Amino acid sequence: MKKLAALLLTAVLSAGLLSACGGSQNSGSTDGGKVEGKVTIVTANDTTGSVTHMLEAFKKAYPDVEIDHQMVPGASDDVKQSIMNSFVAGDADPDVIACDSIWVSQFAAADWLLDVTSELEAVKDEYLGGPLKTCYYNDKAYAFPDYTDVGLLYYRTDIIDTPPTTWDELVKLCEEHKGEGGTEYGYIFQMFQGEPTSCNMLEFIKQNGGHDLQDGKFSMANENTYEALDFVKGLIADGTTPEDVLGWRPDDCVSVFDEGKAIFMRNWTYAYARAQSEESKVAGKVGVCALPVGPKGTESSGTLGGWNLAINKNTDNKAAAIALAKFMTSAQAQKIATIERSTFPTQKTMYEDKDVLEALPYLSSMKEAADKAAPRPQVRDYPTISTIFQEYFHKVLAGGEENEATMKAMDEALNAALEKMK
Amino acid sequence: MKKRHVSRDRRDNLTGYLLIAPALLLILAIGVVPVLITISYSFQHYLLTEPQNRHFVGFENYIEILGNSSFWLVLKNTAVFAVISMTLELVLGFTGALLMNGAKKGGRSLVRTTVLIPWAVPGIIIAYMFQFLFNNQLGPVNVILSHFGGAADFSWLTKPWSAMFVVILADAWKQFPYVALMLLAGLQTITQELYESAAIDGAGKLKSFFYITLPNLKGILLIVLLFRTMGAIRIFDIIFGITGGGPASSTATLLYQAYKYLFSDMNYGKGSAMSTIITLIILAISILYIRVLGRRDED
Repeated sequence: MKKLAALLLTAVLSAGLLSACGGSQNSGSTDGGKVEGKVTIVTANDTTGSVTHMLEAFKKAYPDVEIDHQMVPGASDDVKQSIMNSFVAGDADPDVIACDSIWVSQFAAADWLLDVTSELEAVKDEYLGGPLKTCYYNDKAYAFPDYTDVGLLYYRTDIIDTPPTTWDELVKLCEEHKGEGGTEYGYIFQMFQGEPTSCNMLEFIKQNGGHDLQDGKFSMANENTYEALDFVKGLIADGTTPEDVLGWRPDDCVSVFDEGKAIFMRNWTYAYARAQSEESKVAGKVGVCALPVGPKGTESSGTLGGWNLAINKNTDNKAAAIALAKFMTSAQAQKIATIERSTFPTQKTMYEDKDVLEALPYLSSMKEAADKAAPRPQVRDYPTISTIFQEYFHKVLAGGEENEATMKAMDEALNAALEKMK
Repeated sequence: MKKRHVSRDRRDNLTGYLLIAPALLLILAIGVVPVLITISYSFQHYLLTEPQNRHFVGFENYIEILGNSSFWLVLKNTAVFAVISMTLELVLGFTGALLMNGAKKGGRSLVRTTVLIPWAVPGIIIAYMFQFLFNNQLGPVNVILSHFGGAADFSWLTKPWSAMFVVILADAWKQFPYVALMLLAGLQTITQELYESAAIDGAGKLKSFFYITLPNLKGILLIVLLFRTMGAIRIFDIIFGITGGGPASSTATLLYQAYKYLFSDMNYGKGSAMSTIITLIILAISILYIRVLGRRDED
């Protein structure tokens, strides 16, 4: 009797196992099987409505797929936390996530993302090289490049005729024109102790010929870095820049610039759509160019940002999730995104597309800046490195600590953290 | 005869245990077990980014945390935050309690409800409220101050001392109603006769406050102090919303640092070690307080 029961149990179990295998094989093929069912996608807050329009276009192409679009408010760090909660718990939802390019390696290392190497390799020639690279970890692809981002200089065309190319020119223009057209500040940027500090300060350092991770180690305690730190401190001390930037995130800068209070602003690509929108007081008076160069630097440098679309490894609708991620990063969808929210496309053809260039006339001249944008240190665990940047840069900028000793201590801390990742 | 009595006692005990078992199990599951898991994580090399490389490392996480200068900075920040905010809360709470106790019957319930409002608002909302209030561009605080000769664009959240001031103020505003309510409950247990006889003996208002009110409130004061100390050491939402630990890490507290380890670095080992350290600090302070409480009961 017992034997019979055991036999029966084995039979039932192995049958279940077989059917499970079969099931996963079916849903694994994206081209053959029918794409249907429900997919949850999580993105950052969509203020322009572009994501909604992209999803409507997807709906037309795949009418059998039901989409649950969830938006997470707040800055990138807040979005990450809410996504992480689901991943740590091993949930099947969300199926598709908008993933800051700096998270990919961390999330892939944690084994949370679906390997999409074969899907991405098939279309990889359509994308710009820089953003494409951020989708890879250990030679495997874990995301599709959604849009790319780079730090740019925004200026008021009603005040400034020729935008500056060097720091000196920038300061001079600020001195000459501050107060005109209702402006209160010369140059504004973001130094909130978080990711903004890392992005902005690394930009200043690289504009001045400095560097971050080089030949496998950090040696940032040098004149290029000190000069960049002194430049930022000087801007704040002489009132060109309000002290508040030490607590500002990108959105805070957009509000101030759109109120018409600043001549120059460093910000990401999305700021253009906001500055030119109806709510902005400076609509029609906004120019964009590459960031200026420091005295020791030779060429402009903007931090590479951008977002990718990744798929949850535990998704219960693989076929639809892949279809969605692929569609959202296709030329068709990127056209909507680029025109409506002014973010930079990752599809090469967009930089020559007529409709796109009509909406963003500066885009063709920015292709080089977008392609050349400097990535943040590409290590397995970038956030740990970034936390150290934020802490030490802020010690100098807000805490009044001395350049040399602080940067030397930072090098030590960075290299120690790097050693641990090996 | 005696034997039957014992067995009935035992049966009663058993029923008692059975009755509290569900509650006990629940407390074990959601209270004790997570703590034990956290403690076990704290002795492991456990990074979410290295799921395969999880192993026991003894006290390494603790040594790393205690050997890092930023730990001592956040400890100092937490201590400054806790001491000043608690003092403020006690002063405000006491004043509030005395006012409510003295209020006329008609106004009493209105005053009590109004005072409770800040306490009922979630911390994160209060954080964003204060961030707005002290914003140097749009914030009402600077506008008001400028009418009295203050700087119209004083930058509150970018200087270490003023950023700390703002987070303390926000916490004090949120928590003082709790203190006030607890103390009010204490005040109402003091019989009016004590004050009357003191008045007959010629004691003034101040004297009766120090010799009647305060001694009678000692017990409840210590309980309030205990709860508020725990709360202040565990502060997170206010800091997260207003300053994010900045500028220059001047408002980063113990729990904020633990959050950084857990959610930014994805280092569960180190984050758990930090949480355990926080628990130990709170435990030590609680034992100290309870000893003081116990001593009071003896005499």
